[in-house]
This record gives sequence, C-alpha cells and structure tokens, in this order.
Amino acid sequence: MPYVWRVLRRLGVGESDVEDVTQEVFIVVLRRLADFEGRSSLRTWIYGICIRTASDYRKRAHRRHERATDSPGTDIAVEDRSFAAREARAELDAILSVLDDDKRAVFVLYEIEQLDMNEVATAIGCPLQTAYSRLHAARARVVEEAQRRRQQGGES
Amino acid sequence: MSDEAPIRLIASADDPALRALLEAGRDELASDAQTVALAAKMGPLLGGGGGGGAAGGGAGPGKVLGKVAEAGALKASLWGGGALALAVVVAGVTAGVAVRQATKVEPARSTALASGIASAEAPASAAPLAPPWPGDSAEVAAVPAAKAAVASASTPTFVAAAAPDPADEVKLLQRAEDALKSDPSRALALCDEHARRYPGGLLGQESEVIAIEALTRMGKRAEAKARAHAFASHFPTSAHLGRIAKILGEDP
Repeated sequence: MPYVWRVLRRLGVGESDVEDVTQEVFIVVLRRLADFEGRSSLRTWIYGICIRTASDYRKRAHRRHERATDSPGTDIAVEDRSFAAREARAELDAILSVLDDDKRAVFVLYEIEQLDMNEVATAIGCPLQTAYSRLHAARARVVEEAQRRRQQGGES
Repeated sequence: MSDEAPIRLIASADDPALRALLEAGRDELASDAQTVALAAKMGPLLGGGGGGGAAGGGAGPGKVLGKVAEAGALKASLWGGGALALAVVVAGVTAGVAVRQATKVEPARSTALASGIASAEAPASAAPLAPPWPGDSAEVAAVPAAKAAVASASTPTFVAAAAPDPADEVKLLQRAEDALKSDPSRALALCDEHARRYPGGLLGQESEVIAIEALTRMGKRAEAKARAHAFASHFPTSAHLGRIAKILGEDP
C-alpha cells in the first residue's frame, strides 16, 4: 500500500509523522473493515480513510503548534534520496499548502493519485458536481501559486 | 463548469515545471529506514515473517511479490469474508517493502530489515532506551528474532512464525472496546489479557488507549493519568495521543 504513504504526504502529513499516521490508517482499516460494504473499491474506501485521518492529523498538528511539514535535511531517514526529487516534493507541498483541505484532497486524488472523478467524489463523500468545482478551483489556484513562486524565485 | 474530466496537469504540456513537481510527488516512496520501521509495526499482521523474502539473492521483485501474495491468500483463507480484503491490503504494504529491499541486495540493509521485523516481536531490542512497556516481554524475543534473521539472510521464504493469529487479536480488542461503556472493568480485563497474549502485538497502542478509557470510566483517574503519561513517553509521536487527551479531558 505505498499509495497510503504517498497520499498522506501530499495531504500535508510531515515526514517525521507519516509512519504513525500510516499506522493509524491501518488501525482504522482494521476496525472498520466490517463496515466496508463494497459500494466502492477497497482502494477508494482506503483513500477516504486517508483523507479523514490526514485531516484529523492536520488539526492536531495545528493545535500543538507543530509543523505539519518538515524542513529539508532534518531527517536521517532520507539519506539515500535524490536531493533534486526531495526539493521538488518540498516545492510541490508548499504549493499544495495554499489549498484548503477540501480542495487539496480533490486535487491530490485526481492529479497525483490519478483516480477518476467518480472515485474522487466517492472517496471524499461529496457530490460529483462538488468534486468538479473543487478540482477546477484547486487547479487554478495551484497553477497561479506555482507561477507566483517561480517569479519570486527568479527575482531573488 | 464542464463535466468533462479535464486532462490531468501531469499529462499536460501547459506547464512543464509544474508537471515535473507533480511527477516528483507521484514518485515518492517511503525511504528504506521508514519501510523498515513500518514493517516492524505491520509485520505481525503477516505472522511475523512479512519481510523474510527481502534479501534472497536470486529472488527478483516479482518472485517476492508472488510470495507476499501467497501469504496474503493464505491469511485470507484463514480469515474468510471481509478479511480477504485486509489480507490483500497488508500484502500490498509488505510487497512494497519487499520489492524495494529486493532491488538492493545489500547485507547491511537486509540485517536492518531483519531486526526491524524481529523488533515487532521483541520491541525491547529495538528500543533499549525506552521505559519498560507491557509489550516488551522478553519471553517472545529470542526465537522468532533468530528465525527472522536467518530467513532474511539467505532464503526467499516466509517464516512460519509461531505468532498468534492476528485476527484473534483484533477480535479481542473489539470485545474490549464494545465493553467500554457497559462494563469498563471487563474492558480493562480484556486489555490485560491482550497484553499477556500478544506482547508486542500490532494493536498494543490501541489496547492501552482502551485501558486508559476504561480506567477513566471506572473513576480511577490517577491510574489512567499515570498510564497515559507512560504511553506518551513511550510513544511520543503516536497518533493516539490526541484521543488520550480527549479521554482525560485535557488539551493535547
């Protein structure tokens, strides 16, 4: 289930916390498995659990005044990753952080996890139309923020 | 607003720089150290042998995956019904670990993985500085740890661990949780039973949270607080700390 790890990261779970949050997702999966009714695919259902768990995490992290995302270079676990890829992900997460939770979830599921829009709406538990409007808004905001950061970087 | 699903940004040529960022985001996997730590937590679900196939010299990722799927299928046949899905999920996690490890045949890392898996059954060896914890029982340590180390050092087979069936562990804790409101002292007794039967089990943290809530409901607030304190010092980054604070009515 490498996608659980990845989607939690893109939803703003800090690198040093993602292991615990992944475990939390697992526990929820275990506990709620009896409620899984097969109305969606298991994968879609687990994405839904990831979104709620990440959202709870972000609220918790905010209350504790912790950083929800780490600054680069503070974690020994990243020793063998390419620096460039790590920088790129840090930049991506910085861009995604301008979205609110609802838009971020739709954007991440569609653009990175590549679910189709019906699956996105099911995982999030919102009407399809709502998912579409969140996606449009999120894309516009992401493109705008990406450009703004590039311009800012170019000037300095 | 269009109902047509738009072309994904990752497949669009409009903004190549943004596209590169999205690709980097899509390609993220847990680092080796993180997968080892995760395997240590998830290992018991596969009977303790989940990562055993990692370092086999002749085992390609496909072969390891096959083994993992076999293990999942075996569990599924034991668990029946809804557990089928879970077994597949768990097999998926461990497959991720196994494949990544199998692509690097590197003795030091293999040993690290072995100790990671073993530490799920013998937490004491993995966290020597941590205060004593009910799960850190020595009686479960030596033999499975040695078996896991041997298996991952040379053979691509899964260790048939003598670990108890994880499905029973889940059921036991579900009974404990179900009893919380109506009979907290019974819930507490079930948590104690969990600690005895599954030292180092997957749901050790979960069990302790239930025990803390049971104590609170029984009016044993001081004891609940003491156990919450021990929990926090043993698992300082646990995702359950929020729930514990809520149980005790404290701001986390």
